[in-house]
Amino acid sequence: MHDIDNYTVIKDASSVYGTKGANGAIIISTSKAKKEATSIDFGVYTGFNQKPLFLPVMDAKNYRSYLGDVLQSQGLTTGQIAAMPYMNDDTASNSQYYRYHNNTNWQRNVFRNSINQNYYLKVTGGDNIATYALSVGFSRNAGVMENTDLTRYNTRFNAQFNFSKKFTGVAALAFTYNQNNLKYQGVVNKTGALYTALTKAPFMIPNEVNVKGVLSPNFEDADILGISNPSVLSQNMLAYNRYYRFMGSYTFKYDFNKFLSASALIGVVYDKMRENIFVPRKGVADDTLSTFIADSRLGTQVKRLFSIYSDSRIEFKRTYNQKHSVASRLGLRYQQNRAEQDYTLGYNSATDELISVQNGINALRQTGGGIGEWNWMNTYLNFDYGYKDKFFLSFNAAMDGSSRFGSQAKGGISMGGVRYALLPSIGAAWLLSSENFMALSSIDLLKLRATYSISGNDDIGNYSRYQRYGSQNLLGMQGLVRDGFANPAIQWETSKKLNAGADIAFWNERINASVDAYYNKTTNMLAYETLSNASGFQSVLTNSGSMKNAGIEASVNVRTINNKKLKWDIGFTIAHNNNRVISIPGGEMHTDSYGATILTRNGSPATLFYGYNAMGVFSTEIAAAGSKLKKKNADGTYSNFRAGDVIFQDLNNDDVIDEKDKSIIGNPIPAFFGSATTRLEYGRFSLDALFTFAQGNEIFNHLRYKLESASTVENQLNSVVNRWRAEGQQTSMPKATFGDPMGNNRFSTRWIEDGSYFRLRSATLTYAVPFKDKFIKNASVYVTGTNLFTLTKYTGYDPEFSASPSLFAQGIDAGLDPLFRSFILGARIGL
Amino acid sequence: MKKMKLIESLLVVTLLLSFSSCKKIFDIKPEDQLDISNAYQNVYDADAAVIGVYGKFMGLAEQYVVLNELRGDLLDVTVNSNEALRQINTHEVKESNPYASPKPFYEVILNCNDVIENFRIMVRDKKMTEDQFNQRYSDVVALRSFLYLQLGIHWGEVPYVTSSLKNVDEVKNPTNYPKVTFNVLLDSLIAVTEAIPFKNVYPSGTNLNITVDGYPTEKFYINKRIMLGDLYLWKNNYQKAAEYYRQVMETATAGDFGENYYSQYKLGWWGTGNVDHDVVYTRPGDASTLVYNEGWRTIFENPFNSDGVRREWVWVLPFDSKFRPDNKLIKLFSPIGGDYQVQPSQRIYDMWDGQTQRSNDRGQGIPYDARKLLSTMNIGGQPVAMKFLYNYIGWNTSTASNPLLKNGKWFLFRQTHLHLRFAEAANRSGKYLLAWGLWNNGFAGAYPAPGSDVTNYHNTLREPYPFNFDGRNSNNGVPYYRADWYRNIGIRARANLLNVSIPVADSLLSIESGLIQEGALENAFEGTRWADLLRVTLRRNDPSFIADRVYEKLIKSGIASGSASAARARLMARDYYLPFKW
Repeated sequence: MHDIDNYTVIKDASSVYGTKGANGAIIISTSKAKKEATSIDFGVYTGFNQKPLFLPVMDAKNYRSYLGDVLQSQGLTTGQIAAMPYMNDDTASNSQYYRYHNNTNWQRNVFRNSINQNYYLKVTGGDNIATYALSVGFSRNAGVMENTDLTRYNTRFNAQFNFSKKFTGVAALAFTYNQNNLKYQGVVNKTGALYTALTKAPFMIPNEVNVKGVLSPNFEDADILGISNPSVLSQNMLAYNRYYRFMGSYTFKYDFNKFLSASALIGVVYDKMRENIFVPRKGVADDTLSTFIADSRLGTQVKRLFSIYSDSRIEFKRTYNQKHSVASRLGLRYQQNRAEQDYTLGYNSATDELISVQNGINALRQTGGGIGEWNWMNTYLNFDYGYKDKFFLSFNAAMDGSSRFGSQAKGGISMGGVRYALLPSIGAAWLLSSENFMALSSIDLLKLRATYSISGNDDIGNYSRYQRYGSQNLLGMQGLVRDGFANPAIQWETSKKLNAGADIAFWNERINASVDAYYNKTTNMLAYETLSNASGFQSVLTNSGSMKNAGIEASVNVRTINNKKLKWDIGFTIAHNNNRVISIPGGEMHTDSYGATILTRNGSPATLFYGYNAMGVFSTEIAAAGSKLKKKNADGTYSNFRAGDVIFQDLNNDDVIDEKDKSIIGNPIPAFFGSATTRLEYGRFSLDALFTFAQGNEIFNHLRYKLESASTVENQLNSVVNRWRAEGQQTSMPKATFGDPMGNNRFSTRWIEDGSYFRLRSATLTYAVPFKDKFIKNASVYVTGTNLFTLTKYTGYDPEFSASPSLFAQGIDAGLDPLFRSFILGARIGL
Repeated sequence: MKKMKLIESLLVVTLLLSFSSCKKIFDIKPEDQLDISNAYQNVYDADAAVIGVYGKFMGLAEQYVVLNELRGDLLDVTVNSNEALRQINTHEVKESNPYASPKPFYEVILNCNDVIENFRIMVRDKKMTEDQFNQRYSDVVALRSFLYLQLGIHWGEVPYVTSSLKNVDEVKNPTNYPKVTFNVLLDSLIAVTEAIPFKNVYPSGTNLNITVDGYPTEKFYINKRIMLGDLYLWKNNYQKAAEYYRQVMETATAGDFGENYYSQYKLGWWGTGNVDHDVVYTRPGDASTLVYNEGWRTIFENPFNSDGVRREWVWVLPFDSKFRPDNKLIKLFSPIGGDYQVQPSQRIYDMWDGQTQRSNDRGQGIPYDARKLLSTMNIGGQPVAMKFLYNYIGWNTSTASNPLLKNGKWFLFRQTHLHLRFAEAANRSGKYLLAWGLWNNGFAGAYPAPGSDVTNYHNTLREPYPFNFDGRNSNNGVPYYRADWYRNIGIRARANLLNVSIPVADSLLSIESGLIQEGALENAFEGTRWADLLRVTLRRNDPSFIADRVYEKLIKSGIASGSASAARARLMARDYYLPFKW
């Protein structure tokens, strides 16, 4: 990130980016030489990453008692349970005593503290014909999971050429190489290092031990309960990828005169990622696949993206009579993309030393992949008009063609048999503070803005418009079958956005504030339309939905102290967004995601948690029988809820807990979110801090759902110690039952938590070192802390978590590797 | 200025180029799938289309068996059965029941419609020859008729979709889904199937009749004449039905007078050196010497390329663990490596136990049908319907040699179905004795000769086609005869059972009921029971024919009698069909 000069976020009026602009645009400028003299910038920093606080899982004593309950509910007799090697405490009769009588906190074996390193060097310079900027960087960021890290090398070379006074050019070349060591993240039963560390029996240890209790250097295999050894997963399992990216572009610009210029850019992007995976057989539970049992698992995958793009334009810029300023651009953008993915999976290599995919057994090898290709063309016109620097008017229009759009798309215009999206926008701003009547006002700046834009989204899949055939085998013969229905009317999603805002500054610009309100309506939204069974298919993708977003964003920055020696800035931003589905086919849709049901319904936010209302646990059989509540079994019979089962609310009062008793139990979208910043400058010291917050969002704690289900032999959270165990016991934790026959763990309010938080995301203290030496232009040292503290009621690792990009995974804590706290010490020198 | 012109013209050229070739730029066809413009280009594409249709068709096996057997009286639920199967069993099926969803059938139908429509275009555009078209087109039309017949049997009134639904507008257009009653559906199906230009199997040596992965593919495809015979039989057109069945019965009546000539589809015994499909004992009369490793049981275990499959099976598809789809029939039937969701009903056991085998030298008949022991097994105290499992669970070990290798077959039609249905048509045409003979002990048994001169016996040559069979066999008598059907032994004789004697006054109905009963004893669990019961019920307009049988199964299974009575009442009210979920 050291070679970025500046970036601009465009939230509205982005029609000029056509069907790529519905969500706004970010324009990033990379470093260029600003002056001809050679200058060198060198930076180095190192960081310390602190492993997160462990989740409180049960210790060996509590786990053993829990395991006894589960085995009993599975139908084992007391005698059978007592005879298990992990239950038998007699060292004489139990030859495996030392193997099963330990107390291990497995999280210790997969988490660690780690160190980051980061170096960069930037050289800029040149002469009156050419200037250049070269930057080189290297970083190694280690994760807090054992054997995870990201190593990154990057170089960038930007050059500007003055071929003549009127003819200039820019070349930009960048190459990045990343190497990433990973582990399976999240709730992955057999191969997830963190998940098995949470669920592995604490009475086990990572290494083999003999009858006398002497420890071996060899790791244990998967255990008697069928759970993998987390230490094997973090030490011996391999998952790494290498990622290469090359970006190159050339821009030529010719100034016809002071007012008119033309430019052309052409560029290529080439991405390649190679990913390898190896899961050893020793220490990992076997996986039963359809026709064989997989012990070791091997895989490799290559992904490629090749993209050519161009942007050619004519620009006109002129001010008439020092009153009317006019700027206009007409241009054409073009993108041609090809993505390819190929993978091979192998199984059961002869030994754990053979780790590459060709060592798998030939007959079990699986290969697959995909190819995607799409072209996009965008013709754009942009016209800005300003009157006396007081009144501004801006008009944009784009015409987009894409290989993804169907020939019978309903919107847009048709030319030569191709449908184009036509996307205009208009904006106006009035700088009131420049008007005469405001000249004497104490307000330094007052600006009113409004824009209305229509933009589009072309992320609609590459080939929905065609009638396609996929392969279908009959034994080893390959045939072709219909793959759903062609939708030649498929088109871009249309987003109509109205934005109004005001900027104000006063107290000699020591207070700056701005407020924006927007209303955004998406029509032609892609949705799956359910079809008649007689069509043979479930659904087809059509532009048949609509949705709206309305919101407000406000920010204020105040310089509270403004002395020569002491300066103190405080800033605050807050945003609120209101999302509503206007219509989807059928009016309502349920999506299952991580065991949750996500409701999408006309008139409601797009994703809502939809489940049962849990109201405690039946403490006595009488209470349970009195409620008359029951549930339907798989075979159609009913079972009554009993003491120790969860009391679910029977919304329709039919005594049966079923689908009809589901209601909205949470919303993953926060009511408000924002940030606060502060900057304190005192002499050569400065202190920056960034706080972020979100309020009113709910989280489905999927990890806790797995760790409090009390229905398997997997270790659980300490809270499960309070499970219902005896008639009359008052508790909120239901009894342990193998397989959860009563559905106590169904998606309910038990798993929904308040995700509100306030956190100090980062704080930095910088000291600018004074130098008298002319050789060194500037130097500074700094120390930064990230994620220093978080205020939240959330019980998982962290209320902010990375999840899959899917809309339906929003607000679901799937147990991925948590955020962590880190400290960075760094220095910068400019020569 | 020169430079400026260069750039100007470059810009203009770029712009012009971009616009002029737009259509081409934006026409990118998928590469990991096939666009319609690249499909159906030659006969190999046509073959791929047929293979695709049958590949999809394989996915219907489980639903087909559940609907046709569990709705009937021979298959029952187990303690493991889910609610959906229980609903099917007791005839109280909800719309949401996955087994009652017509969608899987319609997905194959859509593919058939697509293939049919595009084959017509191909032959018009000379992308395949008339011969190639006739063979493939006829096959797919016949398969579609089979699927629609199934839809009619189970859902009654159904939408008769014949459009290939090329785009979303066509999919949503209600005129593409005309709803027709079962009776009208049968008329339409007869019209289109009768019109197909090719009614044979794929000629050997053509791309679709080869050996693939060790399996001859000839029997993978529907037999068009049987399809037509079935359609006419449902329509009570006995003459036409019998004609088509007869043509199939004579499939091997060509070429050399070899083993196959006399035994394929003729229910004939096999010559020396071959092991036929009879029920046999090593010591006749000694029940403990029933032969398992040869004879009748091997009908279900025989490898695809064996004489056994060649002579017995008309339509059968293999499940091979090396290829998709998974064999769901193992999940359904097997207690090993499966969920054991269905079992033989007590009623079929009782029916088998009600039979008596042929007397031996000592004059004793074993008092049950040996097909009971050959069609079922007791594994771990559980009665298991074994026909679909013999390629998976060893008959002598009761275990799977590798529980993950789920090989098997999907049985659709064999010669006993053929003979019973021909007999059904013959019986309704007034040819009682002919029907009785095919059912019991063959032509020689039904038309015995008093001496060795069989000139005027062992045959029905005085009857018009298709009822004129020649089964004359003079052994070593004079004149010497070995007619085409001389080896025909009848279904019951092959199963070592006594003949059924029929009261003369009531022969039509008695024989018909007897044929349906024999279908249960012989072809239990093979997926034809419900259709047999319903066909006769509709023909006789007598709902008790089906209702009583289902009731008896339910009441014998130990289910609450209210549930059994409710099922009977529904069927008595002619409520034979599943709810059709749109």
